[in-house]
Amino acid sequence: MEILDYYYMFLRRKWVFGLAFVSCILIMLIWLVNATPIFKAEAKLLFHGSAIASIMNISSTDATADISTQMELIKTRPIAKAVVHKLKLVDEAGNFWDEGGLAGGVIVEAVRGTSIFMLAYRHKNRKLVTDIVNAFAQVVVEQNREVNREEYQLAIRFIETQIEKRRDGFERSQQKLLDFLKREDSVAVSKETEILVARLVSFTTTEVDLASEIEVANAKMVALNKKIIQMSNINAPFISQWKNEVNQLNIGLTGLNARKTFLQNEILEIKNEISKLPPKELLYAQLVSESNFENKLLNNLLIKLEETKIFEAAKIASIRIVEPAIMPKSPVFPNKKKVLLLGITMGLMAGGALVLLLEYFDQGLRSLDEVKEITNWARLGVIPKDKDDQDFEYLITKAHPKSPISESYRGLRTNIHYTAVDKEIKSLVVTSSAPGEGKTTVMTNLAFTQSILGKKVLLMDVDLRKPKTHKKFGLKNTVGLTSVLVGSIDLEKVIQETGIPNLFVLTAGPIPPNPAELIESKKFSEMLEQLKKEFDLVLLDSPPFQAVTDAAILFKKVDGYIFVVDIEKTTRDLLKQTSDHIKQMNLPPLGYVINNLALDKNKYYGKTYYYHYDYNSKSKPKR
Amino acid sequence: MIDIHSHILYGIDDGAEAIGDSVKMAVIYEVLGFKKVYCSPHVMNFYYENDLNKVVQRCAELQEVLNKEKIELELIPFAEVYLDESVPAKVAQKKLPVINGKLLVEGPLNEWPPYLEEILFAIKIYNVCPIIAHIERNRDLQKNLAKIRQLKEGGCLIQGNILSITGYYGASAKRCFEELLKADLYDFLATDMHNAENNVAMYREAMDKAKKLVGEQVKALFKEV
Repeated sequence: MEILDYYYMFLRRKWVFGLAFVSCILIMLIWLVNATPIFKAEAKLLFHGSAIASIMNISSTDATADISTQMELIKTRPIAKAVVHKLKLVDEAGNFWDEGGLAGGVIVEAVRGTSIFMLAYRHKNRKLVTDIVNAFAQVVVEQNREVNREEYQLAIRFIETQIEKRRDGFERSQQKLLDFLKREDSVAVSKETEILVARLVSFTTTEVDLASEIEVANAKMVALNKKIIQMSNINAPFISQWKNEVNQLNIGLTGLNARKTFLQNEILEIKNEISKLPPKELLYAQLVSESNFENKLLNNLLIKLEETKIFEAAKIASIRIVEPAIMPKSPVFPNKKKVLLLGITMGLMAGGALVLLLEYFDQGLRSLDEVKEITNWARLGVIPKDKDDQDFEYLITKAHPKSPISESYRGLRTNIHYTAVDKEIKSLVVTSSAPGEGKTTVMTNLAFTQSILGKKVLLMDVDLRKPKTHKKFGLKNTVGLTSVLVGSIDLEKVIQETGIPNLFVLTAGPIPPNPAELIESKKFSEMLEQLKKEFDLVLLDSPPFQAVTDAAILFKKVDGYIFVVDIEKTTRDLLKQTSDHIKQMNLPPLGYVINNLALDKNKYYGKTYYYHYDYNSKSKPKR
Repeated sequence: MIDIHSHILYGIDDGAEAIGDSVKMAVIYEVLGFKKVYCSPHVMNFYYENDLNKVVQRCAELQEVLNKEKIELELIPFAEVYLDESVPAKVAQKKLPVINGKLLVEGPLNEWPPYLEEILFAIKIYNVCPIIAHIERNRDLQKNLAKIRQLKEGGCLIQGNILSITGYYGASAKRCFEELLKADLYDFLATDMHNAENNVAMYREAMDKAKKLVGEQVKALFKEV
């Protein structure tokens, strides 16, 4: 099949295709209207590190892991339970919602590369879904605050034990200094020594601060490096930022270490100078510096304790609601665009499949050429479909002589004339494969078209089973052909006038029990010969070829026969059967006439013969 | 100018209905500058049963009227014969108006059935040369210029309707007409005037378009048979 054939195939079945297509879309639309819409509410939360890490001034070793943990925590039953109770979520029976189901429905998604994550829920009630998401967010924050408070309390307890230890050391160094001062009534401490001691104390405390700073920087760097290694395979954009940070830290650390070394050298130098002091002064200096050092450490801890207590009292949470859920405007399900797209796709597929299926099972003729291909007979004419042909006594060639249909009959007449070049056609059978293909219509119009050339034409109804030629002319069929054949009446007496000059009718007569025998009889042949002498042309209407043997018998007795092929009714199978049968008889027809060709151009087409009309069949042609 | 294809004769085909129509058409011819018109009514069995005698008679009647009205137009009896199996016999019996051994004929518009060749052959046998009327209007020939050339080589002459160039008979006819005109294949151009509704302006427009396409010599194609 060529592309054009497919085009015509679809054009021919455009209604089936359209119906399937529209049905699919309709089904989708009905479903869309009836489907319960599902709404989705979303809130955004920000997580900024674990509480204790920020208090203890140490960077978290793995922030991503922390976020993941927080996200998983949201999906737990205790949180869901808190939400159920907070919103008093009860079902129709008055029972609380199953927190497992609620927890399972919560959607938590991280926004990559940030510390923000999304909290969402789907439900058919848009107000409720918003409340649920917001309740979740609030419960999460509250719980987090609670957890943090516990962490702070733990930290306070830890710092307090440290302070106890440090306080001991400090008091001991204080005691030692006091004891020394008691033992020695007067210590003549030179001005230089005092300066030296003061410097030593200052340097050592600074060194302690530096050491802790270095420790923090190192921890940060280790954490960053770990992250870089973890994320390196996904090539995240923030890796370069981390690498930058590591570089900064490295530079900072170098500076810090240099300062530390400098301080240590200074301290060594001071200690060296102090060691050169007299023993008493030396001891004094040592005691003072030790006491000051312990004092400094204790003070640091006390400051940290105060800070932590403030945090605890402030109930600081490490999770914050960045964006609470707002009531969704449109449902996420069903997605109108997706459903429509699905409907269109399904419609196209269903329509296409239906057309192909129908085409596969359709025995109807697809083109004018197909008749030629199957039968290999000559085409004598193409008679367009006559929409007004309802009245039995209607002859289009007489009623509308200028219509294209009448012109087709004239063409048929002339074609028959020139087809039989060897012998003059004086008797002609008009038949068809099946009943109802338009034998009688074609025959009577052909007869009329012949008669107007001045030929004396006889229409002879040899369809002895279902005769109807007489009806075309409003004649009686009480006596006719069968009457003559059984010898009850003379031939001259049964030939009737039609009111049309040159056109006569011999009706079938009473229906006999044995039509085939009558047609095969010698008497029939003799009668036919006699009629051929009296008339210029005898046209015989026969029963359908496939129904009974009558037609086949007639073929042998006449000068020629033609097949009427109703392009709408004849099936390919039937035409093939007829064609094969005729081939066996070795008595080919003069040709065939296509009948009932729809004026709609797309319905039938031929590669070599394309039928077309400018005007409607009844309008006055311009000549 | 001379028109060899005209349905000016009243009451014998689908052209002029009454004598008044014929006179109006004659005036149109006069205004357009025609001096001679070949009256060529349809000849088609049963529908337009016209023959030489009838045409000659009607032609004389109209000529008389025109002379009275002082319209200077010479009428010649001619015909446009529909090609069917009866035509060769009529030619043989000299029942059709043949002028200078030529006969104006037409076939079906929708197709060019093979039997036409046989009829044309049968006409030529009697030493009559067929002029195929408005050839550009035939649906099969429109698309088949080679076939038209073949017909001409086979001894047929071809006539075109000047109104085809305006699209009066459709786009395909227009296209075919222009191609034939440019290729200088037309033996005759004519009006094929059916009634007075086809007015002076339409023919002038058509003439102007034709002149634009091939020049002044287009007038020479409105010539004697």
